[in-house]
Amino acid sequence: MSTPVHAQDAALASADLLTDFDHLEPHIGADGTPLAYYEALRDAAAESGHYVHWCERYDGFWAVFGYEEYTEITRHPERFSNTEPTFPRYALGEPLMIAGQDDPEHRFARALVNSSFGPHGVQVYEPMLRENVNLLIDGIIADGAVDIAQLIARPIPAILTALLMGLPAELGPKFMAWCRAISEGHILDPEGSKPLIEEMYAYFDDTIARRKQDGGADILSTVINAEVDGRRFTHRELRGFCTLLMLGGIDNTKNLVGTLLWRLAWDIDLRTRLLRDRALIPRAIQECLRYYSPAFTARLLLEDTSVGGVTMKAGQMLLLCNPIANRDRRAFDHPDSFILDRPPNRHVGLGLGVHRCLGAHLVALEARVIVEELLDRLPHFRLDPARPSRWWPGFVSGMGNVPVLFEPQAPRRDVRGNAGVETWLASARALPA
Amino acid sequence: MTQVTVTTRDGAVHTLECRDGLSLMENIRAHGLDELAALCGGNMSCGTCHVLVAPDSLARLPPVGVDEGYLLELSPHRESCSRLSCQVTVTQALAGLAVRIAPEDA
Repeated sequence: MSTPVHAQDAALASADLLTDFDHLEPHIGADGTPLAYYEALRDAAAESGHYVHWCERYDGFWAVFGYEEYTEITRHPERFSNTEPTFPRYALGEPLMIAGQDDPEHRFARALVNSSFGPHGVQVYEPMLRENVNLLIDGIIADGAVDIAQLIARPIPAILTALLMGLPAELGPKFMAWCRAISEGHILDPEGSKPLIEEMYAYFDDTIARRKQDGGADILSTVINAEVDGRRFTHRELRGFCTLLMLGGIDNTKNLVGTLLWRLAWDIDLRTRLLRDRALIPRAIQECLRYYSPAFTARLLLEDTSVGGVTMKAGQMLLLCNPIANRDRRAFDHPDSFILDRPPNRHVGLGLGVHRCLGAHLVALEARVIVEELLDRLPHFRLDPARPSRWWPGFVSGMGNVPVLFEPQAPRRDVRGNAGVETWLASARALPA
Repeated sequence: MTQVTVTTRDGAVHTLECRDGLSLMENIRAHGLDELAALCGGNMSCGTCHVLVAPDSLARLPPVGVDEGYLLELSPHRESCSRLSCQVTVTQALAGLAVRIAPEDA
């Protein structure tokens, strides 16, 4: 067990901590993460006797901090609608399929793609993932230093998502720009984001038209050409599928993996245990999903209702705080410790109930392959003391910069010929150090 | 309604009046037996609605699907009579079915 100590800073003792809660701009503690902030919120909620609180930011919302309350809400989709799955709302313009749908539409759309994302279905991607992770490592291994979040955690989910959508792997950096424009760019920089969002939809429109004509073996083509009970998806729904696959495929995974690699860079006990017994890697991934849950999620209340002793009104928004519910003392022993041997780890890092993450098995597969290959080839990577790691806040958040050092080695293979990997290496090297 | 017997992990036996057309998982949870976690709500993604079916009832159930079999293989508590209860739709043909909730996986 490793037990980091989070220093309580004065800001976390504020009487308005709960009403001022801001998930998009959390307090970052001395350890470089918002964990101390999350724990202070959890403690303040417990002390108040209510695990659901009204918060004033972003025109007001109910924040759900408790595990029990989280469970009740996600088990009742008939009252807590998914038609607003992010908060504040993303600049989508079209309905986000599956994640932004209620039954029966949700059930119908999910059934079409569910088996492709099942535990058996995702295994087909393992060799390709291993190949790409190794080529990325080949691209940086002679340098002895790399931002491992930028050069491993970001490219891999983008390359895989392109494959799932039947799109070129070198589109990855563009995916990142589009995701950012949709999720937060439209708030922080509306003028700069608008052309990016238009570019994204123009690209998706062209893709949809070509797949209708030519078909394809990827998941997106399956959806585009699916006909069930004589019904086909509308063009707007297909756009919504494109954004779902892109956002869902990239955001959570890159943040989870970036944070896990950061943890492995300094937590020598954890890394040593994983090096000795690779069978523990899946447990480390699940505990990382609990301890550093990247995503929040949201619901729209359809009717007046009470949860956790508070009464809420129809039309109000709820923010489900995955990382805070995952440290509820009523649900987890020693919730503020990263425990590899946690008994049944019923975390809500990927949500709960019918809307639990469609890509749960893909996330776990990508994280496992990355950790396995890195431990094989760079078993002693360590944080670069000259370049601090940095948490990227947001509706989905995690360690976005993790500069590490290691002993330079000769690459096994030449990366030339793999357009996706080459694009990422070139793109990352173009960034300022 | 179809009667099904469910044994929880403490050994208690519960006789449930189950709604036909819903999954066995949905019925078990609707009766408040929350120890059946069913984290993914029936999307056959998590394997946490694992039950052990009385061997003499097994033949009344449809065969195990590919993903279901894969998820069950991941459980150290898998037995030849293991099923995911989200994949069993309750019908009159299952009247008298007896299942036990499998031990929770670590």
